[in-house]
Amino acid sequence: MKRADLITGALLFVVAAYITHTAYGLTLWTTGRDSAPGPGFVPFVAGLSVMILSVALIIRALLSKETVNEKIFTKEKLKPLIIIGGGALGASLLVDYLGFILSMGLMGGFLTFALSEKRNWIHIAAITVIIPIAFHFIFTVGLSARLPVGIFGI
Amino acid sequence: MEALQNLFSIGFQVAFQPMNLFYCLLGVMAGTTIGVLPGLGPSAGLAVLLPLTFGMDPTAGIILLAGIYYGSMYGGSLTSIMINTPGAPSSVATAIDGYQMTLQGRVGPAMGMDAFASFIGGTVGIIIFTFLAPMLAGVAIAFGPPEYFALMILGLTALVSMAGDDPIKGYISAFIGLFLAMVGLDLVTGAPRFTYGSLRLMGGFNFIPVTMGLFGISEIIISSIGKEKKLHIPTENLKLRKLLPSWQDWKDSRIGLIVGSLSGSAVGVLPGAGATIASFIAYDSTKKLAKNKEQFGKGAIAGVAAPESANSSASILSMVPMLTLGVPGSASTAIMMGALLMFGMRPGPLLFDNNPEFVWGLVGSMYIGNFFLIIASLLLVPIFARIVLVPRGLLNAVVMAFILIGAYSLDNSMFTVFMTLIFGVVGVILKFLKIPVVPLVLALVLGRLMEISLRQSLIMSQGSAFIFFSRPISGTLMAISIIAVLYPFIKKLIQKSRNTSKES
Repeated sequence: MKRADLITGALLFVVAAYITHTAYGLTLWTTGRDSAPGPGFVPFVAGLSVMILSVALIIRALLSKETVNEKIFTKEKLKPLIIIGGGALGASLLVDYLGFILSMGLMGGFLTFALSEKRNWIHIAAITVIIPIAFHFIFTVGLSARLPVGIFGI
Repeated sequence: MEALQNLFSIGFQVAFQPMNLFYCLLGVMAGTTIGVLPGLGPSAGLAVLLPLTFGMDPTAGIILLAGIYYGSMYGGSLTSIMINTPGAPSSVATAIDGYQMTLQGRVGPAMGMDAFASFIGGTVGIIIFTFLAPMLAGVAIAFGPPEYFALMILGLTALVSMAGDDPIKGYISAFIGLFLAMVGLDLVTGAPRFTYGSLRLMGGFNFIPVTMGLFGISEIIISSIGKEKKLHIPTENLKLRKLLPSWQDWKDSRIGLIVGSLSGSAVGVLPGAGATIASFIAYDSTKKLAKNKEQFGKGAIAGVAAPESANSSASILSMVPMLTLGVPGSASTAIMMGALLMFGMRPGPLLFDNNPEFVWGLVGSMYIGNFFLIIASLLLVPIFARIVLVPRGLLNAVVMAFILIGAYSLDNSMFTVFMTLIFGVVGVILKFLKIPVVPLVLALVLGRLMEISLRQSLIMSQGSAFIFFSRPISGTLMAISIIAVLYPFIKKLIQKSRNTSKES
């Protein structure tokens, strides 16, 4: 974790410095009869604290005797992130054209296809069909949710 | 006596209404299923199924969520015993002896004792809850803003210190959560904070897409890493007759059941401690008290009874600080508190006076839910066991679709869906970097309330922070918080000095 902590600490420090600076621009403390923290006070404290903690993280990583650097973002770890994140994002972008329910069915089919080690086409087809039907009954009929419809009217 | 009167005259009357009974049963069954599913724990389960409560009557909603919560806490232990894969951290202790019993061909009595221990621990927890919660609410009614602020600080510091391995990363997570809670219009002055002109951000970050992303999506992604294990479930030994523990099993487990139920109740009520710590304390204490200490770790049935009864009672009691003080002590109760706020309920001491049907209905439903749980766990264990065999790809596809549709139905907006996805990716990155997400969620839920209490306190004291230390209750809570902050560092120092003295 040594290298990962160093990079995390540095990135967090930059973001926290920005938050602290922006919060400082908001009112930190109101004066007068009701003297109290202003809208910038808590974000300022939060930002400043993250800055201090990220410095502590960097110092700890520098002092660490750890010699082996464990890889954080390996191919094996990134694969499901890309498949699931990409699949969900793709389906969300299709909502305007296919409607919510059909897009979710397609996403379900895609994820079953991409995440299964042994591809079972019956499972893939079933999920693509069952998700839209089940969700129509649970959300549209049961919970009266208004979901976007697409070019097929569903 | 007033508590009993309220329980019978209000609680059971509400809980026995057909729809509430249905939601209680649904919650218990859905919770147990989620607990059994690999990768989904109680927090993820609550986050994923939260959309089902949209538009529901608040009492029915909380009955459903509570059922999901304690159902999933129990469900997690089934996989601990069968395949040595705890569904939740609170079931790790159950796996030690439970899995050994499975290897010895005693999966039936292990699963049976697990169900009975959960029932006994849960019942003890609910009985204590019935009397303790109104008492605590009565005390908390005298709390002012400084006490509330101190209490929330204690909740956060205790959680980071006791539940996490790395306090620096724990506090980073908590402060990120606190910052996220500040995004949006300032409640007092109306000044926009970190909104960058976006109307969507003016209302701040809704905690539901954040939790669905951080717990739901990230859990799905993490559980999809690596190769899927081939599992063998010994369903032939899970028939009702084989589940019933023998007289000797009961005799061997009695100390574990008593110690587990009581220690779980005591630890569960503390903010930050939770069911995981409770189950390990119960396991260790029972081992120390047992005559057959050498059997522990090799398949002692008391090693299943103690942690499971503690797990069950602690999960029930962990709802006490959330309901009576408005300060959740764990991720699951933070999600439940967020749901309460969504229902328009304000958790805290006045909840008992203002919404007795809601609170006592929940208490009544937990007694009933506990009965549903034992019946379901004895009759349906073979079915629950087979759920583990559902292919991972299939399961994750369905859960993912459920999360996205739930995110959309929150406010009929694709913006919320994208926000859920972003927080899902953030959750995965935080987990890769070993930054805990629970403090972030707790701080997000508590952030605005903390800010209001802080401002009110400082207006009362004309800007002096001494107010938090000069009042007896807030002073005590702040002192405990300081100890909680220092505790992990002191513990490390002691460990280091012990190691050096051993070496020398």
